[in-house]
Amino acid sequence: MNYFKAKILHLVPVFFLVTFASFMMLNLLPGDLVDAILLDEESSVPSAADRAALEKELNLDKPVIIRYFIWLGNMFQGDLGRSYINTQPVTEALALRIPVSLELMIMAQILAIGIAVPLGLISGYKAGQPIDRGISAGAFAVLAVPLFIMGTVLIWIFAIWWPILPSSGHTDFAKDAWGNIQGFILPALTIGLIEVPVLMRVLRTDLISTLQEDYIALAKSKGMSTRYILFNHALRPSSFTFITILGLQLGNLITGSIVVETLFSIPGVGKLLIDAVDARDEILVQGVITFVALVYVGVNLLVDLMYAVLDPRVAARGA
Amino acid sequence: MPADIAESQPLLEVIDLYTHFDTPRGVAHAVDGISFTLDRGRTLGVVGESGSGKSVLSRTIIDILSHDGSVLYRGKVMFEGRDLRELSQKEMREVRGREIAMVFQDPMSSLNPVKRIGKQITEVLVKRMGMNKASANLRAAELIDSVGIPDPEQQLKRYPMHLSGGMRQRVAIAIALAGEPKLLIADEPTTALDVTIQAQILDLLRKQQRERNMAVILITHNLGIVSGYTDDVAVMYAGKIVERCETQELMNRPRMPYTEALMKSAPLLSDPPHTRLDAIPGLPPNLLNVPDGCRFHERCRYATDRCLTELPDLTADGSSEHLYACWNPLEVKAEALS
Amino acid sequence: MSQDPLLSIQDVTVEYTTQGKRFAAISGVTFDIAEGETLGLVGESGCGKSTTGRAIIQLPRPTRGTVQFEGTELTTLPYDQMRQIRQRLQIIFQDPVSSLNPRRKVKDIVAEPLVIAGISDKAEREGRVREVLTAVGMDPDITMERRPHQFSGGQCQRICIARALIMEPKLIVCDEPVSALDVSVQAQILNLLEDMKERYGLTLLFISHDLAVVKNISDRVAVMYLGKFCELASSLRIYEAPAHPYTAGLMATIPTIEAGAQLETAALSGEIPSPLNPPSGCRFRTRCPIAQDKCASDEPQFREIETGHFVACHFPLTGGTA
Repeated sequence: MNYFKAKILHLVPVFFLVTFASFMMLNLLPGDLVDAILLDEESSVPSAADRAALEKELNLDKPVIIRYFIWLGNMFQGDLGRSYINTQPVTEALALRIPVSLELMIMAQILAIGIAVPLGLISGYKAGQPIDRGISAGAFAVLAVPLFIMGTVLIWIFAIWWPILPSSGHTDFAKDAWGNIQGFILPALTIGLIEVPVLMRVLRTDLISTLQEDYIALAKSKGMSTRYILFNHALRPSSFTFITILGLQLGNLITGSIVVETLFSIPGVGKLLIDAVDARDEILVQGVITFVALVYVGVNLLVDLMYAVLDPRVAARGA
Repeated sequence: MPADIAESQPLLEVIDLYTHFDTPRGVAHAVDGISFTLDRGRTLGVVGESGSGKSVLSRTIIDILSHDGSVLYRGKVMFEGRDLRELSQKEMREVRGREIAMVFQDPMSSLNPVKRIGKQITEVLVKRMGMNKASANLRAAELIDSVGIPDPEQQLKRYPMHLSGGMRQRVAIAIALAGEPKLLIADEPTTALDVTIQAQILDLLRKQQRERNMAVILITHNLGIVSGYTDDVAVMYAGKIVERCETQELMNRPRMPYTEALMKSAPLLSDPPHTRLDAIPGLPPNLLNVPDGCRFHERCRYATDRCLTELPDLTADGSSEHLYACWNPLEVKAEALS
Repeated sequence: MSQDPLLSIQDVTVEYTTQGKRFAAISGVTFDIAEGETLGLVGESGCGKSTTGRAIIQLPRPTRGTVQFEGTELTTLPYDQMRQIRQRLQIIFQDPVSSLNPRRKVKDIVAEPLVIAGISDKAEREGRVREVLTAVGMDPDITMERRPHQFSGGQCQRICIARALIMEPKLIVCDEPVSALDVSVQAQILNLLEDMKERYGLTLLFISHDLAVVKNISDRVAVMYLGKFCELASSLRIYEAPAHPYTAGLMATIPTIEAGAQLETAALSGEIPSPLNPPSGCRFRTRCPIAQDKCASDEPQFREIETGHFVACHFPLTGGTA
């Protein structure tokens, strides 16, 4: 279908732009990588020959543009390089961490959607009434809370005051599935709750205008129940901005997962990134950013596909 | 109740109905004390300009306006002897779709753009008529066929965007007919359509009305449509019915000056070009602030002092069924017209 | 008509591209408008009547054909000269409310053409705004300082007419000017247009889907269908003896107070075909009650069947045969 082709073509340059920009920016970071590695390995001051050899090995003697294209070429063969610090292949490091982070993100999104949709529907349906005002006030309160405070508060409530969930740590899914999920609830809720206010508000706004539509009046005149009308007639046409925001908030979600993975000691990509930046492991950082860019591009593609699923007119109209 | 009483009783009896909107700028008197009856199988035309309250009236009868306190209701809507205004939300849902159905003005916006046509028909059959999916699909195809759309089975899978305006309005009629209602309210069903298509849709409505012995309330701003397609007529102005009688009687002998003015302001095909139109001066009153006395007095050429202060009731001369609300009804002129 | 027409349209075609497909919204449209005349243009949606109106004011420029106004060829006129011509060639639209800038005062809206024309004397501008507002039946003292949202649809249309009149144009294209208005207000605006026509010596192209309205205001009437002219005749003649089956069908279709209960079945069956994919031969043949094989193969020429009465039909209902 033309619509999908056009959307994919749109996102390819985005991917290149992100990886290129991050490559350039990492290159601008202060400090010398060769020094960092050599000083770490040996206690003596490295010789100029050692430095040159290592620079050559890591291609650091070549201009940054060339290095980017070397990296890009390797990437397409599935090789993201090896960590400068511990020589572990970047793909391997990512492969260990990605499932953990993906699970966290997906759970966070499910919780965010699961909370935001009913609240948005109630709020929009009862617009201007006490329940709507209450929900809106709550949403603004949540919006004002920083992520790490939200996490801390949740830990205090559900792990200390009423200890039903673990406050930190990660259990392997294969070993203990329930334990794994339990461990993810609080961190996922932390990220999810932060997303809820915006999602809920956009759904509310769109729903209010959808409910003015004649086809809602027609559905009422057919004797359909309020719940049926909300879920079967109004929700889909009201969810465009919602889906868009969901895609755009992915950026927040990734930032959020860095904070949350640190706070809850979860060995995900976010934590990997923090550690890599600490160690000035540029190639690993680049690998993480590539992964994030891919996720971003993928999710936005998904969002575009969702438009077409939600509204047949989008697919018919084309790009 | 015994069957013969049920038969002699009017299908719909609206008694002193008020629908007021509580807005930040004041209370809008959209429907302001309206009474009328409608028998089975009859077509009532409700004619008026924008802001006359005719659409609000239809939405009040089928009860699809808000109940959040922003709309104030008073009066009775008796349907087969039951007051619909007394019913619970759940009981009222049983009435909507099954007993009373509605067709809206703009078929471009009254069909859900993201739902297949089939689904929009079958949900009535499944939810209201208790059919299973398979028989609902069969019935939906029959309905599509009966409103004159070719390839019924194919149409069920399509979305509204695939159909022209006229075809969409046919689908909307099929949806309304799905619950086999006794009363169909059509709110300006052809205003958004081309003239040739308008005639087709009105013919379709009339055909269905006759076959099913449905009562129809046809809301329109067009006296020509009223004249061609209705048995009785109610003329609305600023939230009130100002004249009500059989359609031919109204066309021949309008008593209310507003009705006459409405007839004269529309150009006639039989008039030669450049015939000066008898325009009604001024504007319809703001429903937030209706004038004292007769609401038409500011624009009425026959208005007297009494019209400024006293609101005329909807009454008839003697035993006549021709009701009008006017202190100075047209008499001599009316004879000349017929 | 002995003297040169005020406006002369020859073989005008306007093409658009939608969904990657090129199609003609109007094709081969030819007509004249004499000075002081009102020509009515009537047809259903998609017939190209609005496109025709816009082709005259070069919005957009026609793909082919010529448009001569007071002897000047407009299709090749440079932009700056076209702006000068537009002072004498105005247009008013269907939706008066959305064609007025809601943030500006009425006096500025009406005076705008004067500003564009370079009339810098404020007192002169204000004087002319007052004059023209009074002419369209609005009280300048209470109108000038207000903004459009404080007026009803009918009043906004009066303001639009005032804006169109202020440059004292020769020709006004009226694109469905009363379609959005209630009947009672519609009559006011139609009467106003007649008055203004007399007072300012206007020529009008009046576009509408409403046959009764068109008959009332026009000297001659043209009927369009799917981008082409079907019939053109004097207002009286076309209504008493329509020659094209489409014209006849349209007239039989309108519900009128006079027709009353006699109206039994729709005169025209079927749907309007898509302009993207018009039928071969005569475009009306798919809905025509008297269509024959010839109608599918040969496109009928737009020809004169009696003096001043043109029709594009192989089998016209009146005035001669094929």
